[in-house]
Amino acid sequence: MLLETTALTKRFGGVVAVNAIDLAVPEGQVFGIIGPNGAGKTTLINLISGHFRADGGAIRFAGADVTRLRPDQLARRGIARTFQSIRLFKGLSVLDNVLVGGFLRGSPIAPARALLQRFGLGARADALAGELAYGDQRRLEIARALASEPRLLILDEPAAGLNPTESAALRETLRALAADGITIILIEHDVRLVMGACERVAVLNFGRKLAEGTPAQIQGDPAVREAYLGADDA
Amino acid sequence: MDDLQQFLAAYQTTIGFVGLNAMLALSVWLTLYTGQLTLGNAAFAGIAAYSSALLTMKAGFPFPLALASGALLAALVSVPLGATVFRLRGVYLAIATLAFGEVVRVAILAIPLTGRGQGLVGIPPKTEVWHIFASLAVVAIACERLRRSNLGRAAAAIREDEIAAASHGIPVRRFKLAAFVLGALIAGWAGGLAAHFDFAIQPDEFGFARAVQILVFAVVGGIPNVLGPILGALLFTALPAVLQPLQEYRDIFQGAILVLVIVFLPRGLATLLELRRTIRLRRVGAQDVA
Amino acid sequence: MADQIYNAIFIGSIYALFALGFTLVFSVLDILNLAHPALFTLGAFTALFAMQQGMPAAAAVIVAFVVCGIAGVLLDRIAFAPLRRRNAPPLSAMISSIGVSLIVIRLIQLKYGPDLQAYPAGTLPAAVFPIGGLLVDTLRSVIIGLAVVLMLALTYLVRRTQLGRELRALAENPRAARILGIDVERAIAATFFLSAGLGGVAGVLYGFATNSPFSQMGLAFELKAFAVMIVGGMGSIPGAVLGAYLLSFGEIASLAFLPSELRDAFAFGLLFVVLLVRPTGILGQRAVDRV
Repeated sequence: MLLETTALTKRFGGVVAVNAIDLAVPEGQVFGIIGPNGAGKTTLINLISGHFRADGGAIRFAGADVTRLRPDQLARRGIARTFQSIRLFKGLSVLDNVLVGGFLRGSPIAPARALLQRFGLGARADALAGELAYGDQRRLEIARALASEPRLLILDEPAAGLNPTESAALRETLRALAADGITIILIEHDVRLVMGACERVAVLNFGRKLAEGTPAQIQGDPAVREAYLGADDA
Repeated sequence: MDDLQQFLAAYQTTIGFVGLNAMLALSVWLTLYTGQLTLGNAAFAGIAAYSSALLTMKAGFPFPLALASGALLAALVSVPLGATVFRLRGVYLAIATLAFGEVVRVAILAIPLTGRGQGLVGIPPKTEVWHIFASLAVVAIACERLRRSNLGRAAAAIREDEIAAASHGIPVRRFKLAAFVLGALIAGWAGGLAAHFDFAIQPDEFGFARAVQILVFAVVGGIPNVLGPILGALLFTALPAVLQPLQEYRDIFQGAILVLVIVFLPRGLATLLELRRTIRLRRVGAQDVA
Repeated sequence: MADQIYNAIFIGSIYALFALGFTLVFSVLDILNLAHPALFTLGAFTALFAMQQGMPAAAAVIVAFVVCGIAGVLLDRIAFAPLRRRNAPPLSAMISSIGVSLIVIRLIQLKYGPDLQAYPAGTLPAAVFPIGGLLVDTLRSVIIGLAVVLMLALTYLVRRTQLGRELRALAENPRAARILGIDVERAIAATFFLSAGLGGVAGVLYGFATNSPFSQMGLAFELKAFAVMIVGGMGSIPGAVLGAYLLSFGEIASLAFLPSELRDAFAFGLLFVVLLVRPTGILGQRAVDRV
């Protein structure tokens, strides 16, 4: 297992946002996390990436206990992520953003430019990140995350706000990344994307894991249907 | 050439202060570059000013050693301060450092050794203008080098978005503390030079008003590169001298210029040098200043 | 002892009025208006001018309120509004306000000089009378009463009126407020009018009590105001009041074991401790960075 969580819990005041969740993601897998709004998906991710401190449970990465580590320490171990709300360095150039992503590798320029090329942003290298179109910004965020050559890539709703064409392109990107051997955890609302790209899916609701299995198993699960997919089909 | 020499001699003090203020402005610039708004650098300058002056006056330290000791002391004091306040954001950090500055000022007033309210007089005038500008050159070049390096880019990332910066492996806390301590070191060095430039120092010279003044230099000058704070210091230090004939209304002009510059160039004077980029930055809402 | 408590209530009331103005602007606009102390001073001197023309003290207070209120609105128009339009960082607003402060203070100095002034003889109540073992003077009692009334009035305005609702909406989420149809510029103007007006009144009342207004009187209060706001909670109106009295009582109490030169250090020491332990202050709102 590359990433394991055991009974991971997070409370905010009286609300238990993440309630004793167990996850096990083997190396090289594309793992999806879905669930209605407020189910605790982003909180869970924030716990794994070190931005929130867990109130209970443990997180293991590559065999080591990383529960109490800070985000920059986790990055050093090979975890990279993107954010639901796109946290680009808006005032820095597109290239600079990727260079910062490669900070742990000494910000080498050639690999950064190569990444930009791969994501179709080569021509906009000197534009300010804040000037990019929305879809380009999402791609830049992923490029930036890849600059550190992570073992685990966490994508927090990368398809939010993308049109169908862009979503399809994203699906291809994910497949290519998976083929490269990067482990990916994907949080998404876009069910088609998740079902199409993921090998295994966990469904969250009210902070708990409702179900887990292959996309086919999840789609067939009546409890999941009721809690989530049913409402979606409407 | 003769006229120039006369001019320089007459305005020696002002020129010296331009250099000192430029260094102080750069010390604030360093912290602003990592997104920290500090009002404590005047106090650090004060700590170094008093300690270096006392070292030359009472302990017979050679001038360079006294300067270095003063600056080091300021930097040492800044470590626990920086470590405790680094997590405060924006205004809170400013107020915390301001409170620290006030505590220092009150402490100076209370300790008999410092001459209390009367200040310290009879400091050997060892500082020459070239000392000031040589120091400024070293500091400015070092800062610009840093800014263009990977470290500088990481600092800019921290300023733009701390959380995203951390998630890419940047040790935010260490960077902020480093900027804070370096800023204190530079401010301390400037403080030591200042003490030996003007024969006497007083606690009021290192209080809130001074801290705000230095901040003004840096912000009005602008953050994009080291030229900004230097320009800001130059403008506002030279201005009173230039406006001398208008003695009575000097403050009014200064205030007016301050408002005008900030309103029309909110990202500072230096942005005039990079006008197109500034317009793009403005449109994008970037975090050029803390 | 009773005397000290009375004094603490008095000073706390002034701190509160001063800090309220500061806090109001901060909570609605997220900027630290460093021209506020200048408005404080302007209030004291406006009253001085009015009374020198023969106006009675009570009327002078009202005049000071209005004049400072208008000055506050002008301040916004000149120094802050253009920055808002340009999406400038909040630090720019602070710097801009410093510029205005320089101008206002200098103008006052040009007319009155930097030294201590005094209100015209006989215009201020001088009656002193004992209550129990306490020596109470009319002037300070009226000031305390007035201050309390103003604090209550402001609280009422913020909680129960339409304007108050608009201000709270603005403080919470400016973009949403605009979408909801709130006339943002008008609400901001009202904020500045109130903030400056209160600051000006605080200045007059303090000027009356000490009978020695001077051009730099705002500076010491500015620093204390920071302490008040941090302790009570930035952006919180009841917090400002709470912080003000906590500070004034704390300062008086600290005189028992600290030499008087270090009294000011108490405010800043307290400020520091609060910032380390609970930066949002006693009643302040959390500023959580959403990930």
